[in-house]
Amino acid sequence: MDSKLKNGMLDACVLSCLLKADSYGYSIVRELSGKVEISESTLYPILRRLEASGALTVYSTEYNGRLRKYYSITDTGRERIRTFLEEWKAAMDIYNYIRKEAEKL
Amino acid sequence: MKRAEFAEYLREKLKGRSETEVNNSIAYYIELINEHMDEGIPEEEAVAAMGNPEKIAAQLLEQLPVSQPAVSSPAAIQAESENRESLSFGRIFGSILLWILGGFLWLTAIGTSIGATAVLSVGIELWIYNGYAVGLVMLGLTLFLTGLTIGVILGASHAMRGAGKLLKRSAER
Repeated sequence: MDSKLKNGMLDACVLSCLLKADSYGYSIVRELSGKVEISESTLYPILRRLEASGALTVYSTEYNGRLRKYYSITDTGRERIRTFLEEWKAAMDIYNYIRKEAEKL
Repeated sequence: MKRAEFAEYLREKLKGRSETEVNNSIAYYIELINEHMDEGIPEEEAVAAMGNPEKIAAQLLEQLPVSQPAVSSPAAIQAESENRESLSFGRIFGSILLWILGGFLWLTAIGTSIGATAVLSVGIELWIYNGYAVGLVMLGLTLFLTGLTIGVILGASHAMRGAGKLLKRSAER
């Protein structure tokens, strides 16, 4: 798959993980593994990218005597999900048209 | 591999990258290793679960920006210091030239002032013995020489001050 397309999907996946509640690295990996191809080391650049673009913010909380970083989605991040859904809606329409035409043969 | 070894390995491999970024990256992996260990996974297995350390380091090298602009390549630093050296060399040379010019102007000023005094005394003498017409001419010449002396003195002090400033600036570098 095109890497830009893949990155966009992974970004949206991680962001939608945070819609319900703030979460931390390990929990995000666990929640997404099985649904998309993601690991600890592939999550890190995604989190960095999302933080840099203002789609999420980071804060640390003490847990079990050590610090745990929590990620929180911002309005920019929510907007990103909306845009993602709209773009894919348009893409799906095209996909359906192509499939219908192909099935006619 | 233990946690500390893993962290040390990454730190070594990421040398030259922004310290904050390196610390953040290591903290990220250590946090995840700790989470795995909380679930009862032994330390070495938890570290291994992160993946191949070599690959992780290579991936981070790709992602992390090179350290602050302050740390430029050694060649650039050397070129800059050479540039500075020649710059301050130019300043010192310029200030020496200005000193010489200033000194020359001072000597000229002394000469013209002596000349003015001589012309004045000769003029007074001529005024007394040869009438006021020649005396007035000599007085005019005296005034001219006095003006020239003042002008040359001003020029000399400017040159000296300029030389001092240049020298000070090159010393500050």
